[in-house]
Amino acid sequence: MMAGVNADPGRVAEFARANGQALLRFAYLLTGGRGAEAEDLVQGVLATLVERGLNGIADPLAYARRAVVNAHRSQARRGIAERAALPRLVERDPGPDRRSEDRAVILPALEALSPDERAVVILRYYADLPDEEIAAVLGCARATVRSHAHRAMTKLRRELGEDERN
Amino acid sequence: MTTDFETKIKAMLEDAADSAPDFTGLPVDLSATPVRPARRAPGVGPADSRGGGVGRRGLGGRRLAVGSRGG
Repeated sequence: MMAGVNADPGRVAEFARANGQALLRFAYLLTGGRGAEAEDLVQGVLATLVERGLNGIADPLAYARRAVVNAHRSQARRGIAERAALPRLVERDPGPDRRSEDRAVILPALEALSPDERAVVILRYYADLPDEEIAAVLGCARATVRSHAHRAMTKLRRELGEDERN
Repeated sequence: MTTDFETKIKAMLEDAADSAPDFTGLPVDLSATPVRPARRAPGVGPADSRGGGVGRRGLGGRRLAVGSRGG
């Protein structure tokens, strides 16, 4: 089959129906709670899948996660300077309850991490992936995943004012 | 072994993910018929698509004498 031609768009539609929300939640955390950015990342990845199809992709969800991570890396590189100049926009009012307080704390704390550190934390503690699969998603060695995780947790402890012993 | 802090981060991430927007579906209409671009008639199209370099652009490949306006 020709590269870049999707012979079975129905499979991508089915994939999107089954995994779109999970990908969006993943992208939402990756972008530090920026809903519009997360939607753009996911829609961009799905548009690529619509064009190329799922043929030859053994694990479409892992492939899509990897594409979201890569798109976020590129976006983060472009956006660092712009972000520094702009105040953070609060997209939703966190409200008074405890869950919203957690949300208001963790999303800004994720901003202290590099894109790869953030991806490791989310894939490890939110998506529950083992380090081997995280390494496959990020395209790096398992040792790199462990070192990203260690640095990320040190930064998060500092951001959240946690004791090192916990 | 999972530490208390890791458990706390996990709970916070799960909670934060709940505030993600709702997925609205694929970005394109898969039922739409792909449209093949119309074949371009010879000599019609963007000036820089006809090849050639300085002196040929937009002139269908004809070279003009220096100073000529091509009329």
